[in-house]
Amino acid sequence: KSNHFLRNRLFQVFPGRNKFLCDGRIIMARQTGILYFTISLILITVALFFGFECRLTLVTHLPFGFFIPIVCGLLFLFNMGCLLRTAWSDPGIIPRASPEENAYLERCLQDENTHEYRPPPRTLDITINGAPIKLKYCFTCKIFRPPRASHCSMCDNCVENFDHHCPWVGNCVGRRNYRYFFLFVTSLTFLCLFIFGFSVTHIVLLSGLQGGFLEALKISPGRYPFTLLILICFFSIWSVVGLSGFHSYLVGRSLTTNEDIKGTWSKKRNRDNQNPFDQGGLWKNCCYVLCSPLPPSMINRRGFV
Amino acid sequence: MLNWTKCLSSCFKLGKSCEHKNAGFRPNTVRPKLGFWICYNAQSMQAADDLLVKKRIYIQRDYSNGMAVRFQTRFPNELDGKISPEAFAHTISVLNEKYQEAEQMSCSTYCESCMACLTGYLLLMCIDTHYKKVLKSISKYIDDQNNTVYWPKRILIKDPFESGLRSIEIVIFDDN
Repeated sequence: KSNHFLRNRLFQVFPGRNKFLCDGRIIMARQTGILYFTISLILITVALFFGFECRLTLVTHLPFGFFIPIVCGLLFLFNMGCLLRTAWSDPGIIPRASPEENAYLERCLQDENTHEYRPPPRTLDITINGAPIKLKYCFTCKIFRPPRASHCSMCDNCVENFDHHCPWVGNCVGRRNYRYFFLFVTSLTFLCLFIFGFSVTHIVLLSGLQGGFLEALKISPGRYPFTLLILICFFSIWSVVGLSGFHSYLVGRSLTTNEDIKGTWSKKRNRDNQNPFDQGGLWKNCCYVLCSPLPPSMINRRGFV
Repeated sequence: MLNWTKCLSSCFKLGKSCEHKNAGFRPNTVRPKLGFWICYNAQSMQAADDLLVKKRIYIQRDYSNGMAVRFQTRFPNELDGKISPEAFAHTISVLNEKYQEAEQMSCSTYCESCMACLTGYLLLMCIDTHYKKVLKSISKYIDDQNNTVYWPKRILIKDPFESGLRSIEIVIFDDN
């Protein structure tokens, strides 16, 4: 144990393209620039809302106005928590096969077709709940990918239940952080609607007090930040509402973005195509995706090699 | 002589795989080179241990009932004559049951998830989740089985969590 400080921890020799912070406690993708942009956009919007709308008019001129900053603050904290959890946690990376396991697999594949010398088949046919599925071999990780797993080209890892690689949160979205991602998107929708709604209320109130919309804008000390706020909210609302609607649909149907884009279970191609991961019913699917117990991270990032 | 060349080749292989792992990786902190050498030596010592290993087999996952963690209960030929099929089937089925227990939705896991969500997932830093507790009991069970059933026959079962719940590694050692 005396030479622990000389030995490498797993995250220092980790084969994927990831970035580790805090001595391996935090895992992210290599490119995280857009994540900082996301965080600063949310921070600026909320700060402007607190600094101008809340302080100047809303709290004093509305009955129960003091609830507005409280609710906004709670929403903001929850939102940030979900965002950072999505960005900083392991999305469900499947560890690569050891050289021994790889050798065993190659031997098994060779045994199947001993008589002819040709490269072994790189798919495995299985059935899940009656639906036939092909497991593809991953040449980087040297494993047959579990169903629904996919290799992320950005991070160079196979990720369980791969949804998509999200540059906005600077991480893959997979089995272990999908629920955080979903809650982040939903809470961001509420935050956006909340701030947009009360910004409009603010200008309506101010117009009433000053006698006219333009007068209100001229007199208000927060006219520039206010315009910025309305613009940010107005443009982000559409994408965020659309995204949360899309993901609610996916959660209800127990699909992943990856499957939806590829149309794996689409009825258009094949009438009998049935999603074998459907738990039976909207409510059950929601529970399954958002509340089912999650395994701990499969890669022991801080363990010694 | 044979052993020596074998050891050398396995060291070489290990060294190469280690290099390969480092190839695309830019370490966050610069470690002293000495550290790498000690790690290298530790690995070659491990390679010497590997000489006693006769065979490794890997029990694969069984996906027929969905994504829940289940392993195939088929008895591998390599274990023939070493251990009774019943004992092996018993171990695997107990493991399967335990994994099912870990992944099952129940009132307590539901409450756990909801409470964690309400606290902004800060709760997860303070408590061990249900899944983690079951995993601990599984590794304890595997240790126990190894001690009582498998090690006397010079067989070891490794905790499947180490390979990401993809397969169970079974190591068969040389008898002498």
